[in-house]
Amino acid sequence: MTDPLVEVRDLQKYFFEQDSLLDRLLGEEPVAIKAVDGITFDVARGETLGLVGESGCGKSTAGETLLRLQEPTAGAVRFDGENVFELSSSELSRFRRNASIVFQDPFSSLDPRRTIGDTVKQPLDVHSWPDDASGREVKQHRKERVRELLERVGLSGDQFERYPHEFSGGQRQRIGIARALALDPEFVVLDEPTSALDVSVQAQVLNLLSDLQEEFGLTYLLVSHDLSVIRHICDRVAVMYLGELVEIGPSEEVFSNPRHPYTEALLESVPRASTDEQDRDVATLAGDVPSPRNPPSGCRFRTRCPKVIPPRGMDIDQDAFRAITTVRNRIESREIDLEGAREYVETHEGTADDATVVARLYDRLVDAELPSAHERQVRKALGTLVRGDWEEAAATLSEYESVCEQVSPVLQARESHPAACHLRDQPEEVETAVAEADVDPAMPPTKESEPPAGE
Amino acid sequence: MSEEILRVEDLSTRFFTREGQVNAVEGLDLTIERGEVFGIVGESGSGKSVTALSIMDLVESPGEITDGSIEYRNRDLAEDLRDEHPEAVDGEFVDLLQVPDRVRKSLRGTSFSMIFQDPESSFNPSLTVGEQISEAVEVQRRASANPRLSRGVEYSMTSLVASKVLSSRKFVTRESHERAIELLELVGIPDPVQRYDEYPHQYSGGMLQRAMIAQALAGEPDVLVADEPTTALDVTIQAQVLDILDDLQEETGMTILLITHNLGVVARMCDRVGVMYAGEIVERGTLADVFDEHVHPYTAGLLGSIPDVEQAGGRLKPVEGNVPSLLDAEMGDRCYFADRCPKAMEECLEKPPDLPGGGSDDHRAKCYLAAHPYEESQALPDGYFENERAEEVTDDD
Repeated sequence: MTDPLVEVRDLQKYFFEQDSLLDRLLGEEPVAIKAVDGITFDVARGETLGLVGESGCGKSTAGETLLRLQEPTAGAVRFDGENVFELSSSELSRFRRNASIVFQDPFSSLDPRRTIGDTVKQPLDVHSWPDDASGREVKQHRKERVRELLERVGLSGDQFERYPHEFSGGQRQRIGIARALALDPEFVVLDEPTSALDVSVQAQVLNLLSDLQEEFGLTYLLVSHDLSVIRHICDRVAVMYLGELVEIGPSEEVFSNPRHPYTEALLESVPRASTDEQDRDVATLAGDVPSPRNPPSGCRFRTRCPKVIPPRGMDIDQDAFRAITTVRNRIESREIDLEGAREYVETHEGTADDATVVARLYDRLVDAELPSAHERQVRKALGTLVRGDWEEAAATLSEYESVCEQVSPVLQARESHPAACHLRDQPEEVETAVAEADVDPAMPPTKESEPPAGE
Repeated sequence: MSEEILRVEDLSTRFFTREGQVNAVEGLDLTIERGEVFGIVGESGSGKSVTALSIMDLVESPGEITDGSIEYRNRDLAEDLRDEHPEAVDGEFVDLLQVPDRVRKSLRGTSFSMIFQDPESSFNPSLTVGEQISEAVEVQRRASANPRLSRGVEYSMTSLVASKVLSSRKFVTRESHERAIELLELVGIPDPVQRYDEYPHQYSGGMLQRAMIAQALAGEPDVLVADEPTTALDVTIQAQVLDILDDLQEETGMTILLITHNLGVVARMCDRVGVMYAGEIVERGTLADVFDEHVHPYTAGLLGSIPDVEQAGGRLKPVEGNVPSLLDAEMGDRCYFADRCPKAMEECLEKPPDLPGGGSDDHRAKCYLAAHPYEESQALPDGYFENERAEEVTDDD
């Protein structure tokens, strides 16, 4: 990591909803969708960095923004030391020569009305390649170059005059790669380059990409949701969740020793193609990814995390704690259908007094066996709720507030394999905030032992 | 786990298009046992979805099932049909390709049910998810109350008006409403009562896929055909959906025909597997047979193509080339895989191999290598197929 080619610093990209003139006239506040919310990483010269996450986590937006195909909301990207977002137009054009992109869908990323030769030649025309040639020679040079490129990616130079519909998905992706390489760039963003392809074709394209990297000394940023692909070709991996990086480190370490519960769950969810797969225990993550319009406070993963840290001194197992947290979240967001429950009880049991409604709610909402003290507390909160007092009900359960909700964990800048999780070492200001939140970070029951450095 | 529930023999499904006849499924044999999860795996265009549609009788024009039989074991149905359609009945089995449309239609939902790849486009966006599941329940309820009346729901102005006016024409009754909520709960949708009244766009992809499973379970089918059920989903959601399918299968003992291109999903779910290539099953057997003892070079190529998430390997060893065209005119009378096969021999060009017995009883591969080991002396010269292709091109000119 001595020689970064690309340095991304606190990059943010928000999209705004309700931002039209009409909305403004009506006085509607624009709603920010935080697609990328402050990510920081480096890509070293010659390496392949993988950016992995589920759909909607912002990985493709991150890839596009750092090439300035989208204007950022905040932050900086330095390419070879220069801030990409402050380049003048001539500098920008030079940057475009050095950094290119291969898109996901080979069916929509090629112009159906251009021959593939023209498609690959277009960047050469736009950037008046080559710099020194002139006149009639130029045409010949460019044609030669296109042939060379087509042959290099495994197509035949004779296919110059063919149209995209004459090619299969794998061949089209090869054309996209040839186009990206036309100007001999140093850095290529590969945005899900194989996700539209069949496995055997995917393997061919992956092999091609590693050959090209070796031959031209390329630096790749591979954006993908497919962990096996990432593992296969990346030197380092960055894991994204809901617009933030949760973990970054060398592939080998991240895959064999994940340090963030999200990475762990992600790895566990991938079905292995081997006969002992059916005996492997998979602890599936509950729930869906929350909306980036209104991400959870504190750690964004806490709503699905199997390792949320209970408050200091509370002796409670994870299942019970999770169940209570779910009830609490629903009370706080006022997402409990009280009338529905009352109606149900009325039709099925003939009465609708508060006690039966509470019992019904408890059965519906709590799916774990709670220790009796905690059960009493939850029933008490539900009792308050049935009387219609949401705030008081929320207050009854406030003692269950976890540090994960109050303080956002961050990625430690100094380590080679940091993870944004309170179970891991955090910088001083975060640790202080944790202490202020009245939680003893030394005593959480699920604190994991850190592996010795350098392992 | 030994009773066969479905016996497909020599099934051919063809599409008669303007470009010519496409042999999407060609002479396909497979048997599925009661209570098992049978996987069909293959790349796009290998005919795996058409196989599913053929079993469900959902092949649409210009497609047609041209040959073969699909025999389904159902004692009651066989009794019912024995007098009227003796040709369709064979012991406890009924050949679904020889029964009248009315009967075939009545089996959909109660005997066979299907879930599709893309849950977002499989639901009607203008009805609530609950209504759509209730409707499935109600159709089955009426069909079982009066099996002779297998009229489906028709979406016309008349039926819309009728459903608003006549209570007997309504498709959401109290019973079906409640059953729908039970089904939603069964597939793990939180707050089924509230969720019942929400529209498809308010559901996430994973939840919608569960709702589709709930809908498919409305008629308590014997066989659930799942066509790429998790392909559109993220891995963590995929794991949830597979879990649910697994649990449901265990609880209800239904049979699942799982169609997927993902070998990991096959390994996770299936008892037995068939590998499809160019409209044929080229190898089938138990999971262990196919994954560890495979005979067919295509199976080997498919397994060699997937990067391993547990260890960074060296180079992948994919099958070279592309999936062949299934146009009848372009398919030669030889092994369809020969031109991509690293072990092609001279006899592969003479005629296509059939599906002979392999290692164990049920492990079969459509390859000469199943009968005898690879012989170097028989190998085709290097570049044989390139030369052949070059010749074809010059012929064209």
